[in-house]
Amino acid sequence: MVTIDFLVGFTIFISAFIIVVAMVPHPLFAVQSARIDYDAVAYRTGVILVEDPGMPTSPDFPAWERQMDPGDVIRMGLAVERGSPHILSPAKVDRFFDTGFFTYPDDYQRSLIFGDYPYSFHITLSHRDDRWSVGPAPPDQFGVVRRVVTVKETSSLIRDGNVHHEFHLPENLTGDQRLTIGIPCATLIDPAVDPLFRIDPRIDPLQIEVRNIREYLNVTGNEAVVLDEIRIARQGITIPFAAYTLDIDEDEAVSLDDTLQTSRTVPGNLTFTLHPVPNPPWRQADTIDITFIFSDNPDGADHRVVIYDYNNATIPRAEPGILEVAVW
Amino acid sequence: MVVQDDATLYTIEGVAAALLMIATATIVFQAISIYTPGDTHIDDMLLEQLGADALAVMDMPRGQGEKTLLEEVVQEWRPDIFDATFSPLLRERSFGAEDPIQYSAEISYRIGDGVESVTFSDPPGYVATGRDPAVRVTRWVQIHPGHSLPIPSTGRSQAVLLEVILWRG
Repeated sequence: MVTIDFLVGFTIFISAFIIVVAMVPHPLFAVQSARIDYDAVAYRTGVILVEDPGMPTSPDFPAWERQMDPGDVIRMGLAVERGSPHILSPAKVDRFFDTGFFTYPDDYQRSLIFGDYPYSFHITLSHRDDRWSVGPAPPDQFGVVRRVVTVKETSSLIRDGNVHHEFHLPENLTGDQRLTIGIPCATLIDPAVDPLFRIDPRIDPLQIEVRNIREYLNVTGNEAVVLDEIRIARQGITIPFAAYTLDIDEDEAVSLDDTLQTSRTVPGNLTFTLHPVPNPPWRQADTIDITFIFSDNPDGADHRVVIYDYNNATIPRAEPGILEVAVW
Repeated sequence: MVVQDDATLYTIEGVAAALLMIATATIVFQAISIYTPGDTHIDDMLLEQLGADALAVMDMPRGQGEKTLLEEVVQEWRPDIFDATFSPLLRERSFGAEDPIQYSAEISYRIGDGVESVTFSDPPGYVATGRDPAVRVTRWVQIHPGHSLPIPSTGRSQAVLLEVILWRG
């Protein structure tokens, strides 16, 4: 006969047994080490950043860094192109670390970290003396991956009045002094050129620098060099194009609209930068002409065309950098 | 009614058994520390990735149509320049102290039907503990006649294998 005493004792025993059984899965969760998970997410994030060029929602122009809305970015990769890992695009780096444009952590989680779990992360890029970072400082325990990368440099075409003597003073010729820089996209966008040095006017900024402009334009006497107008033409037809900056003597940055409204005196050096835009007006086979028109030179005038190609343009030596991704 | 001593024995036994089981389980589970092979695997993989990255970046042309730094240091046999470039790439960290990664590099080359190797760089300052797991990364480098490698000259261009062993010291 079962007594009440036996029932009570048995019940207590069974309850405790159930508690113990329920404890078993708990330590098993620890087998799936959180650190491994963080390392794996950090590794995946590092691979996307270093080896993938990223992707915007719109397929017609594959440059996510030129999108106007953070929501239009599907994936943020920093590589210059598919198949060239470790070479990062400076434009993508600038945009990626622009926390005024992307919101931490939402935009990054959506198009870089992925997954439902709300990981926190800290991404740093050290290159030369520059250091970019996004995200708060990591806690004591985090998963981390470190990648060695290099950042592509911006090309520039330099004309120095003390080196290049291209302007002459032909007899009986009056009018403007004109310097035209021809940019043949078909020559520049050459798959045979190493991606580290390739110049693509659609996605890379182009820099034109004229140093010692008086000597370069062969201006004599006390005349000032006055820049009247900048014309940008595609296939020989002048088009309105506003995405450029003009630095005169390196201290005055002038951002202008499509035509130079007022003439500017150029005492020494001139730096012109043509910036890439979301939907560039030029296609792969086009030639872009940038014409700098300087005021009448009473002594005579000349029109020179310099081609922006791999012989004339220089691109600085790329330096290595460290990209580090911490996830927790 | 007769009061019996064994009337509460089952209850006491149940309570005792319950306490014993829970205490045992708690102590056992708290003492467990499971170190899966996956942990070491991930560390090794990250180290290998880092070494391969560093060699890949050093093996990028320094200018349009120019040689890579790796080709230059091997061709000219300059382990000092190799160390000066390779070591910071491995060790530099954005947060935290420098990563104490050690390495040694050797170059294997083909001679006749055999393969021989020569030490390229073996930075001093490391005391072996005998338990650090090491990983290996390699990169083929092309050398040309007139090189300074201490290997028999073949009189023509050849490829040698740069092999770097990495470990955390």
